[in-house]
Amino acid sequence: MRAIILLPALIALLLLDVGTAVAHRLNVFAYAEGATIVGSAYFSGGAPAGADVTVYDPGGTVLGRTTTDAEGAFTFDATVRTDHHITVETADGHAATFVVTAAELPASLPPGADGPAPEAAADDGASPQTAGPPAQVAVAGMTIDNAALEAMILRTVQQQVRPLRQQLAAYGEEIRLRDIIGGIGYILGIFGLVAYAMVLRKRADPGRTARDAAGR
Amino acid sequence: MHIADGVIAAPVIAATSVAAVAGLGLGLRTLDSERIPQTAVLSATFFVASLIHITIGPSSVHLIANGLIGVLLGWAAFPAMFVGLLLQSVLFGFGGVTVLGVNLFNIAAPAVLCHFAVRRFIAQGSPSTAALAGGLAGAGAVGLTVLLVALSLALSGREFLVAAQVTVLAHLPVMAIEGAVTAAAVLLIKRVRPDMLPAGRLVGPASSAP
Repeated sequence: MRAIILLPALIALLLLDVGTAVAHRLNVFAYAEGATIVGSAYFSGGAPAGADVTVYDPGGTVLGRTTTDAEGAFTFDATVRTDHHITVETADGHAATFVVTAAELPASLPPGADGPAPEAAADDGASPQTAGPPAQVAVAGMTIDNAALEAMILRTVQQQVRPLRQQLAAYGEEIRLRDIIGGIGYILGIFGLVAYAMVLRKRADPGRTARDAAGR
Repeated sequence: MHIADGVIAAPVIAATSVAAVAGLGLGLRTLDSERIPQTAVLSATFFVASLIHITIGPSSVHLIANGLIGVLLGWAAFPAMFVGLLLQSVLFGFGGVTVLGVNLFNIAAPAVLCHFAVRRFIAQGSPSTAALAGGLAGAGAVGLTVLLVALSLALSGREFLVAAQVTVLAHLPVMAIEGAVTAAAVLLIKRVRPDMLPAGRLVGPASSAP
């Protein structure tokens, strides 16, 4: 029994190493830059080069395909304003999906067939100032077209928010110590139940286990 | 190593799941109450081993520990790894629930195969022979798993050579490490506690033979 006690000690040792482990799974992050979707696929310690990237609309229709470059990065030109489901698959069977929503893409694109785009586009036209605002704003003698101003603000906000979103995505993928400890707890609990079931069976029919052992 | 959801074709999932369920059944039959603590501990070892990363070049791989678990558990490796894989997919997002059978078969079948390939040498050999056999089992189980993963992908319409090349090359260091770890573990157990090895049970009533 002494040797069995050694093994949990070994596991505890391993655990020290992985306090802040990152999942070994493929992760994808993507964002829209104008009408171009820019994204990257990555493992915790590397990037999959030459992985297949397939872009689907919400209905499952393929919008296009591309592959990742040496750094795991890829770009895709959106032609419709709909949710873009981006699936990356590597040659060794890892896969991951990321969604770039219709709201991130410019309103100038034609709406997708079954996405929420039509309302979204209508919203964008109506919501900023419903009461028919002046089409232009005068700033220090220059005149800026309202649409151009909106596009500029949108671009800037997207740029500022991007690192935050990237961090948030990474945070969600991190494996925490409580997941590991919890998992080990489940394992011990499951095998504890198996042991309990065996005890119950033995109690119900004491002769059976002896016969089983003899039969083997 | 863990194949993700949606990559494998349905017939491959069905075939490997049937094989995995058969392995689970055999494993549960050989599991007696005395071996449950050992099986639980090795299941936990398998569960955390995948968090140990090795980064080489553009690829990142992790330990599998299926050789070590196979050598010590035999058929009981199936239930031990089933529990580990299920929790890995639920808690860590490794692999997926629909491909649990594929991953279980790919990882546990080589473990059991290596168990029966080397158990005679571990049972009857000197400590150094046993260590060598353990090392071969540790490296061999990883190698076979990699080939099975490539085969599963090939049967699902991928290019076998591409998949095999990618996975085999990336896993050479894993094979080296697991070979060394398994050899060291077998040597230690053979010296300190030989009845933990399959050898000790071969003569007892609770043989791990199916």
